[in-house]
Amino acid sequence: MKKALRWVILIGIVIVSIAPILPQFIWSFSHRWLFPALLPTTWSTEPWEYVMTPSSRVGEGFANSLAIAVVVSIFSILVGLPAARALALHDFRGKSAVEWLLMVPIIVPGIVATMGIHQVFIRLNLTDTFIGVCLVHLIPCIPYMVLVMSSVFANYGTDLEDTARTLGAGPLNVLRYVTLPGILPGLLVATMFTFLISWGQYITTVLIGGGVIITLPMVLFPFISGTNYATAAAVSLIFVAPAVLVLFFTSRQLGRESSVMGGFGRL
Amino acid sequence: MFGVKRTFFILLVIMMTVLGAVAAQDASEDELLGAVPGYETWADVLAAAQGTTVNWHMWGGSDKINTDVDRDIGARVLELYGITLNRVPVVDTADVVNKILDESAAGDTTGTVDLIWINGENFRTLAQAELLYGPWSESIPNAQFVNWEDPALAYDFGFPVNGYESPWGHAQFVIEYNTALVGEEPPRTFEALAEWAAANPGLFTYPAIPDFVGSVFVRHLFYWAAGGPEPFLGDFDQAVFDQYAPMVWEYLNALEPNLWRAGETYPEASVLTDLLANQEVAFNMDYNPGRAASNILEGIYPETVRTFVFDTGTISNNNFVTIPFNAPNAAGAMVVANFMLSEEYQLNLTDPTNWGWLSPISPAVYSQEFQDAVAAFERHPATLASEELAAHTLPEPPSTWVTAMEQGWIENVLQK
Repeated sequence: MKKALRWVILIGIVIVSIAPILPQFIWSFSHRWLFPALLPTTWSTEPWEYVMTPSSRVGEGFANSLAIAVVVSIFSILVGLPAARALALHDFRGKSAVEWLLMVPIIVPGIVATMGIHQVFIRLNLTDTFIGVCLVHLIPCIPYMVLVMSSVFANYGTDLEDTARTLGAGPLNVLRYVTLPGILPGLLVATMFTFLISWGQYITTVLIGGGVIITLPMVLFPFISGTNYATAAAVSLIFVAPAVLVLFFTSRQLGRESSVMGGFGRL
Repeated sequence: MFGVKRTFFILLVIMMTVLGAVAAQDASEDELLGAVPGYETWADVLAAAQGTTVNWHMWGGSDKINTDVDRDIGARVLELYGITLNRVPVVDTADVVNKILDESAAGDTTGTVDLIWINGENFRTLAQAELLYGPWSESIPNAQFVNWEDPALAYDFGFPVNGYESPWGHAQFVIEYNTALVGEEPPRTFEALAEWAAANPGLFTYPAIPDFVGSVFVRHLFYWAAGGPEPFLGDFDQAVFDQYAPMVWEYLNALEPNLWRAGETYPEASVLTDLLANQEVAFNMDYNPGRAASNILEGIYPETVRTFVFDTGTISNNNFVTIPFNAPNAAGAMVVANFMLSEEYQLNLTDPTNWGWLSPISPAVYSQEFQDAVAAFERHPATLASEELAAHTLPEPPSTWVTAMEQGWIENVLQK
């Protein structure tokens, strides 16, 4: 019974995530689609032909966005994981101040922070570079990594690690056989978050990347402001593709009995 | 009455032209040889531009413009001058302006933006903050083709260009209408338009401000209320605004119940295009007089759509490009801007089967071949003759007026 319910919820999630994409798919092949026609009255592959041309810069934007999001995810784990563990398992002076500081990038509007960061980056010669863009994406990403992972660690405790250690396991073996398997589902979710936050950054990339680094949102967002829905739909399908893929591959982990769902309860 | 106003207008134009000329002269006296900062001759500029990349930040929301720019500008400047054109797509040029303001605040003298497709308001912001490179646009070789005495080229939304912007294309507001619903003779005055809307409720509307097409429609009403554009061409004056605004709001509020959906909501410009395509409304409007024709050719608009201009004229302006103060490759940017004024490119720009834009340049200054080619273009019946457009052009007011009119519309029409 419980298993059936879980499947219903999973299928529900998939439908809710996929359903909005279907009209985009139809739009991307439409030429003329006006009320009250249920389907386009004339069809066209022009939007996809445009996406394939170098002029669209979709391929270049996709590659840059992917590279940046992967680097940002890795750095988020390296920085966020130890921080999350410390915040969840240890009490220390100024802990609440640290927690508050970590939340600031989510609270302060991104554009305000980015204007200031831009000036600092100019002085440090980090503007218009790949690594500069990665660094500025880390700022909104790290809070999510820390938030998710600290609740995972809070539920997880250290009992199993202590047991393994009493049985003679060294630090590396504890990490490999006990800690990582225990936090893996939560880590997947947190990494997915950071990946998608980096993937969707627009204004930070524009300011810090300076037009030297072209990412997919920089290609897509102008079309949303334009009048050509068909092209906008084709580019946005490419834009959401990684999100759908990531959701698909991690949904198995999410559906499992794991500390992830419990972790959200404590946020 | 009209004669007095017309005389006043002519005087104003002469005054603006003289002022523009004086300002240009001042600039040339400051810079030796009246030339471009950092370069003595055009040969120097060409040499510096050879083999470089030009980062051109421009609105990237039209696949047609993106493709056309890469083909007819990007590929050509690579071939002719060895310049790689990196077209950076942006949503809102104000983001680029903020970036340059930031760079200036941080003392960054080598930015990344070489060329910007800019509107009057953003140009004013950068020019007033003295964050533009130049003056250059009157010194490049093809500037000889530009009639700098035309107020529409000497001023961008009322702000003097003074060599800091180079023209690209020309735009003029037209009303699109479906003859199947309106008949052959459209309402060419605001009085006739109100009568038509009252007799045919639900078939007319205009885009909601801050859309720039809705904004320019409302500007026409101010010109109508004042009997001409003259009161709005100087600095913003609250007393003048208060004198004419009530008549505009009264007109629009009286029109409202006869608009599409009884004026309860105003569509976005893109939605209005769909509504005309779907024959749910009888009118649409745009800054590009050739758009109706291209929409018909693409099968978006019904064959029966035509365009008209008001008897009292419609507002026209020019697209400009500018170079920021910290452009790493100002030489390359100037070469690109210079190419955009060339005979070759302007022919592609005006070709209705290619770009289908209007040229900011009078064809008479180019070669006989150019003029013959332009004369041979087949004008679509939905596009007005350039002579008719030219005979009905009105200037844009300074952007300070635009802001006040937009805010007034929101308070007195939208929220009423």
